[in-house]
Amino acid sequence: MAPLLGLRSRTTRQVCEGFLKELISKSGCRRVSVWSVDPVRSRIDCLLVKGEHRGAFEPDVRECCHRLAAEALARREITRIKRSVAAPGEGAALKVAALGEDLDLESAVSVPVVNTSNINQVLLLLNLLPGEGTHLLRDEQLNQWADALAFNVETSLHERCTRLAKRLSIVLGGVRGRGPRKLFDALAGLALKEVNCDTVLVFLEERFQNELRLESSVGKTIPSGRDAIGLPATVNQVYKNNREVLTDYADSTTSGVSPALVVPLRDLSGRARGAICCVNWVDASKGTPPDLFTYDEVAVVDALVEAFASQLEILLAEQHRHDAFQLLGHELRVPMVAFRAVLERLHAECNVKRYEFQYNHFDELSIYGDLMRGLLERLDIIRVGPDRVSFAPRFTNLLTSIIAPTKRFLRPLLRQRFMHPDQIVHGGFEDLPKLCIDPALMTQVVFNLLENAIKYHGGEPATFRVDIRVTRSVSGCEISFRDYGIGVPRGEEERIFLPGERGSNVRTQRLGGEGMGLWLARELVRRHGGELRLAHNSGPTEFVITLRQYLKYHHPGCVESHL
Amino acid sequence: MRAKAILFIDDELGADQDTPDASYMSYYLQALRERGFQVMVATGADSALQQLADNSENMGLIVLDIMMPPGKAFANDDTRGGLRTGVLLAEHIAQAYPDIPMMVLTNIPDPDERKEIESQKNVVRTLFKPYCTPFELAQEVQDFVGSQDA
Repeated sequence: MAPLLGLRSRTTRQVCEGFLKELISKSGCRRVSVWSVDPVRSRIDCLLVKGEHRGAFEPDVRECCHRLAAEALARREITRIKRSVAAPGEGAALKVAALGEDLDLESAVSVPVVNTSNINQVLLLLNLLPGEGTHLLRDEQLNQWADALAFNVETSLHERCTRLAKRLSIVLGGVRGRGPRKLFDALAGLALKEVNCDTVLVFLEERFQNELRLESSVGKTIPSGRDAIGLPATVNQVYKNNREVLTDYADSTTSGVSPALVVPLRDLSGRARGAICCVNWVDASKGTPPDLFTYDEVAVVDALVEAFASQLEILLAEQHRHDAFQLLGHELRVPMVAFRAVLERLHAECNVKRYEFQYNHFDELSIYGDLMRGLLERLDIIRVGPDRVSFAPRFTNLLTSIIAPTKRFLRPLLRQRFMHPDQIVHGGFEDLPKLCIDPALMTQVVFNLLENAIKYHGGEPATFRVDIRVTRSVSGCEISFRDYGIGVPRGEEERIFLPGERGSNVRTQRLGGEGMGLWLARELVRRHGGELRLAHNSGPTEFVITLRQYLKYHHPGCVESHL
Repeated sequence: MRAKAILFIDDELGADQDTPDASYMSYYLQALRERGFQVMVATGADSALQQLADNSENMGLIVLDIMMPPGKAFANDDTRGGLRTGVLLAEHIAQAYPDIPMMVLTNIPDPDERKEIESQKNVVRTLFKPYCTPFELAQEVQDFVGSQDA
């Protein structure tokens, strides 16, 4: 019999189904069943039955085939029995009479089928019940069938896993927002579809702790009470042992058992960093037997996990970055708050006691306090993401509440570069009404644009100049920032707004920077429903912010009374 | 309200808030007291719950931090290493003492935690420490009390 190459990319059950159909038509067998070995549960399960039957797989015939399969498995060779003859080593229980009076079967043959592609699924047993006159099937013929089936099962499983890995790459590539939760949902969703189970749960190890937390749950909602018995312990065991498990765990709600398949979620080095769990919620009260998972499905989920490993590495790296930023932000925030509190108290006490100083030290320290706060704000925006950072717009005077304070915050940097705040000029603000903006976020935008203009001036300090102009439009305004610095090379107008990207002329001049400023500024402007673009590349370089006076969707922070 | 006390819950206040070794957070206490408010201090969840149990009828306002050790009260809850202790405490207070308004004064900028705590119905204001100096907190409290008395 020729191998059934047309059956690739199908489940083992589907492969066996086509194979058995053809086998029955060519061999004259009246009944063929395939059995699968489950080494974890130490048992042999019937995968499929084809051929003549009267209703369900008759219990006595099933029992006989099961025992015959076990015998073939133990001996690892073709095993035969005939009517009225006991099978070797099995005694009276295996008499052929048990093969079924109704079917009038004459004899049975069990042929081990070794499947080498999946190390977990060690053996398939092809169990043949020949019809009249066909009980003299030659061993050579039987072995050819076994080899053909093994080849098809292996090829099919391999193809299925490869296809699934590619499919996962496509699915992950299409995830919008790239948030960890969405990526884990995509992984779980594909597993749900491919393994055909009720629920898929994805767990990831807790930061700094050797415990798991649920990252994603797709499919049916976990029935109440069912997650309490056994499953969490199994998932933890899989994570700690870094080894797949097929299990049935007790279900307190229905007094039945629910089958589960748990596979470790591994990184590129093979270390377990979490677990993925497929569950079928069996309702014992309905009397339906549980649909057990097989090692076929372990291989499929393993393939998904392997394909997800590089994405997992990225997520873990992002998590480490997030944790480091959070820790750094928190550690810096405490002294900064303390600094501002103490400064405020000191200023008040000096006022009471009428101390006078030669310079306005409080103003200077206050600028540094605000600058530290602005930098911490930027750290938080990078950590949380500009699309998720708190957004609290209110009607704000752009000049007095945003531009003027930002110029003050930049005083230390200007001084460092031998520049002066007066070199940043502005105009057109006279008749501008208050805009509905988040003052902290918009300050960050203006700060980033001006900081870039200062850092990338390139010429003599005396030639530094930034013109900030406002032009009103029907729905809002345009704020342009013109400087006479090194500019942006042609063709890089959009690239400079990508995170981590900087102009090629900046990189060749070895100027410091992490390439986050313009990306953040644009994203923050977009949070306001506006846009930030590069209008001119150089001579002057011009960035333009377009803002609406009112937010597209009315925000509770911007009520008319604030006008 | 003016006759009632403010319960200030923040682990950074420490036990020595009225001594020269006091934490910077004692400036917040001082600013409130200078405005004439009577301020009671709880340096953790357990102490806060105890004071509320003993004296809730005299509490007019609670000023609450989010990140604190879970204490015995929330030892078995998911506080994410103390990051959410204030959230759980606010939930408890909202249920047990729904008439006492709460102001949250926190260093935590994460929108999720802040949204969760702001969803409690008696949270009247969320203040971010870097944007709220002691005098500004005192002014916020004064404004709130004024609006309640009006």
